[in-house]
Formats: sequence, structure tokens, C-alpha cells
Amino acid sequence: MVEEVAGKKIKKSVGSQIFDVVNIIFLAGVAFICMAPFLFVISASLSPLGDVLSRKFFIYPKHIDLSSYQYLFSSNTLVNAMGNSFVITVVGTTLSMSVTVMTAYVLSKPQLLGRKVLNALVVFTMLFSGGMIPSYLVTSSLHLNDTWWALWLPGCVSAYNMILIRTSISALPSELEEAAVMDGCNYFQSFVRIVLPLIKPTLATFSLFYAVGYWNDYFNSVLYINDSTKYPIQIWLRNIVMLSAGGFADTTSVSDLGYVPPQNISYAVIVFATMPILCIYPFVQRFFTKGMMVGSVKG
Amino acid sequence: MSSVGKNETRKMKSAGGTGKAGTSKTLVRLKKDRLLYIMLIPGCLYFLIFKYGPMLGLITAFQDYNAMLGWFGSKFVGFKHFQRFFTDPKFFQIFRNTLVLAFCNIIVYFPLPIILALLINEVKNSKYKNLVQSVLYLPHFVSWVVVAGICATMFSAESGALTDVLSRLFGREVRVLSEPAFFPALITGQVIWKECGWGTIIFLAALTGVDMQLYEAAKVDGANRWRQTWHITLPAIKSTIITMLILRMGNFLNTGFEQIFLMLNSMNREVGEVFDTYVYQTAMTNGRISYGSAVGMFKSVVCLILVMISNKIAQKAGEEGVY
Repeated sequence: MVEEVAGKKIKKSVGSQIFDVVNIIFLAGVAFICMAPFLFVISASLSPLGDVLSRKFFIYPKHIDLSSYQYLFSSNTLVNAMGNSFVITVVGTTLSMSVTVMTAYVLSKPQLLGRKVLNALVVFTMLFSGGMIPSYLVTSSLHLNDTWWALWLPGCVSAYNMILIRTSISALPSELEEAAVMDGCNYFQSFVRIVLPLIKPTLATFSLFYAVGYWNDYFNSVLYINDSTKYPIQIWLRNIVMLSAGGFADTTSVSDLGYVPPQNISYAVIVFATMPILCIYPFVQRFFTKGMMVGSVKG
Repeated sequence: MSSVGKNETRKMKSAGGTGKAGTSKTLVRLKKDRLLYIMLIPGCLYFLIFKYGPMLGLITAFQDYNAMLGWFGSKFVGFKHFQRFFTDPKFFQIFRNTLVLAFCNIIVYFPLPIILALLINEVKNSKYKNLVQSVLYLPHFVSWVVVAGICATMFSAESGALTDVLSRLFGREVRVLSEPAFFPALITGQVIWKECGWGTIIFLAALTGVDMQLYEAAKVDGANRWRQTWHITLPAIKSTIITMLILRMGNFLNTGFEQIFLMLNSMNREVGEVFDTYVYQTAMTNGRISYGSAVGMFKSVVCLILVMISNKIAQKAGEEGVY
């Protein structure tokens, strides 16, 4: 192999070429390790119970059997839990993004009085927090227990996300907004019409982060939600897995399922709990580097 | 144009109305930008109630908190709960468990994303590079409940896919989920699988800023790839590495709570109990609210001190630091 560098031809050394090959194979191996558990779970969920128990498959099923899925849809508890998680995620993400982006926009304005102090107060919340119990006491004193507001409000704005979004807004050329103001836009109008369209990759990235956070949240539901009709899918999954593993874990919530589900059922529930993310992921993934880069770590 | 005109007249009016020039200037600015301040209200309320509220709520740690009496009626007892915690034999156990897990995290996990990012950076084919990145990021988006569920099924004693392999490897029946000896490895392994690929993104982002001419100059000077990595790539991500290390130090005692909470069971609690799970256990399960708050506060204060120390060290070493 010959590379052209600054007009000179420099031969790639044998060592360098060997490294390239080894590197590519190694990364393929790492990628396989990342994917293997997914493939394993999907194929287990499609296998008959006998195959799962005797491990007659690995990353592809030997026999296809949809009984675990039929079983799940025989009652409406799964559909209900999926629906709950869906509502929690959509409303939560909308709320979080609105408040976060609006706050980030205001805090990026140099003419804001006390801007430095406000920013410092935000950073401080990343370094120190009241902790689990005082937060729980605050939330329950607002009578949010057993409502989804307890999932939406206490974690509504992530200071880290807010700072990264603020940085990407600050990076926009200020002339654009000045022009909008000249045309008679007020702050809110120029925020919606000028700023938001310009930071679309950032918005996509952080919406995904919030959505994943809401969809995957487990512990807040353990803390605040007691009514089993309001359970999100993660709690439901946890109960199924613990029951089917004959588990000794401290399931803090009592399942209302009257049976011990067989193993391949828990695989099917894992598929459901992961699927929505796997579906959105490829569409948002291409924005990651762009959306994250503008902010870098610091902000 | 019309709104600018309106602003002008408003400015004139308020400037005429107030005596002191300084305050009137501030008032004018406040009035002119009042929409900006209105837009700040939701965020302000959030931070006040849900971030600074709990900080004030830390007074529970100095009270014998009674839910009926609330924060204003409960009796103050000073440092009683802290004293009790420090003299409790549990304190040493929790501290040891936390240290073991934190050291595993910093020594075993922390370098991995950096190495992985360097390897990904060496891939020349951009399609392959993108594909690898997309696959490696994926586990990050899976919930801990799913990770715990996969582990529970893969390592389960009767039918786990990996139970046989491990038992053959160790030459005895292995119970990964309940044997205390496996707990740190299990937790660290999960973190590596879930976060290692995602951890590279921040370093790869930093690497996109490197001037390609540097590499070309190095090649002309006869530097091989290893030397290029050592002299160009690594210095380029040095400050990112230091920033991440500071953040990690600040979170030293914050072992992933949800993850550990999900992997704990009665068999491995003696090695798996960390600050957060202990707080949950005492306050929410056993109802000792004030004691739990005190333990939580101790942890938060130590975290704050740790992050301040590592930030100072970074600044001494000529880096920017995180705040």
C-alpha cells in the first residue's frame, strides 16, 4: 500500500497493515459482544420452552414457537403497561424538552441580569444534591405520590443537558436574532422561529436522551407509584423476571399476576421493553456526534 | 420596527420616572427584557423546588423527623444520627463495599472507553467506522432492568445459558448472581458492556477537532502510527480525559444506584450494600427517615469535597477544570 503524503510517497509498513487487520477484527468482536445478548434474548423468546430450558440455541432459534407472545397478549396487563410507559415517555419528554430548551435559551442571553449567578446555581446542583430522602419528602409533600407527575416533575430538567443545549445556542451567530428583532420579533418568537430550527440536531439528540430516561426509569416508579394499573413496563418486566427465575430479590412491588410465568415469557417481555428504543435509535443516532460535539464536555 | 419604537417610548417614560440613574437603568433593562424573565420562570421554579428544596430538606438529618409534625414541628437532635452511623459496624462495611466497586470502576472500566476510542479512530474506512460506532452505542440505551433481566436469565442456576460454561471454567457449581465473591465482577462487567461503547463518544468528538496536517507532518518526519497516537492523538484528548476523571472522582461514592439495587439479594447484601441502597433500606423500608437523610447527606458532602479537591489538582496541573 502506498500513501501520498505532502507530495512524497511513503510506503505503509507491514506492521501498520497487520495492525489495521487486527484492529478491524477486534472491533468486530467487540460489536458482536454488544449485540450477542440482544440476539440471544430475541431467539430465546421465539423458541419453545423445551429448547430454552435445554439451551438448544444460541443466537438463532432452532424451532420457532410464538407461544410466549400469545401468552403475553392473552391478558391486557402487558398492553396496559406498554401504554403507560408510552404516555409517561411522550408527555415527560415534551415537558422536559420545553422547560430545558427555554431555560437554556434565556441563560444564553448576555443581557440577562444575574446570568453568572444563575448559571453557577445550576452548576452547583450537579455537584451537590439533597439526596434521595429529602427529594422524596419534597415530592410527597406536593401530593404527587401515585401520579405520573412524580415521574415527570422531580427530574424534569437535567442540568447537564441544559448546559450542553445552552452552549449550542450560544454558538449561533447573534446577527440572526438581531435581524429577527429588527423585523419586530419578540424574544419568544425569535426563540421559536429562529433558534429552534437552527439547533435541530441538538434537539433530536437530547429528546432521545430524555425519552430513553423516561422509558427506562425504574426506581422512581418503585418510589412513587403504588397503584399497579399505573405501572410502567420496566416494573412489570422486573416482576415477571423475578417470578420466573423463582427469584429471591426484594421485589418491592407485589405483582398481580396469579401464576409463575415460564422462562421464555420473560425473554419476550425483555423484547417488548427494549423494542421501542431499538426502533427510534437508528433515526436519531446520526445526530449524536453533531448534537454532542457542539457542547463538548464542559459547556 | 413598530415594537422597537414602542420600546423607545417605554424607556423614556421609565427613565423620567425614577430618581437614581443606576436603579432606573436596571429597571429599564428588566422592563425591556421582561419576556425573557417570564420564560425563565418554569426553569427557576423547577430548580428551586426540586433541587434547592431537597437541600433545605436536609435539616431532617438533624431532626427526629416525624411525618405528622413535618419539618417545622419535628424536634432537633443535632448530630445524633451522624454519630450513630459512624459508630455502626455497618458504616465500615458500606464504606468498604463502595470503595471496592469504585476502584473496580476507575481502574478497570475508566481506561477502556479511551482505548476503544483510539482504536476506532484508527479505522480508515468511514462506513465500517460508523457501523461499529452505532452498534457500540446501542447497549447504553437499554434499561438496567433489562440488563438485570438478561443477567438473571443467562446466569440462572437451572437454565442459564452461561451457567454451564462458567461451572466448567471454575470446575465447580457457580452461582454468579448470589455468590458474594462474584459481585464486583458482575457489577463492573455490566457497566463495561453497557457504557464502554457510549463512553467513547466524548473522546471521538474531541478527536474530530484535531488538525489533520499534524499527522501529515508527523508522517513526513517518519513517525510511525504508535508515535503519532502518543504525540498527537493522546494530547488532543488529554483535557477531555482529565475532565472525565474529575467528574468520575466527584461521583466516587455514587456507585450506580439503580444497577446495584436491581442486583442485590439476601445472599450478596453483605458485599453489595452501598450508601444509596442503605439509605433506601433504612428510610423507605424500615422508616428511619432522619437516619437515612443523615447517611445520604454524609455521602453528598464527601462527594462535593472530592470533586473540589480533584478540580483543584487539575487546575494546579494547568488544566481548566469543570467549574
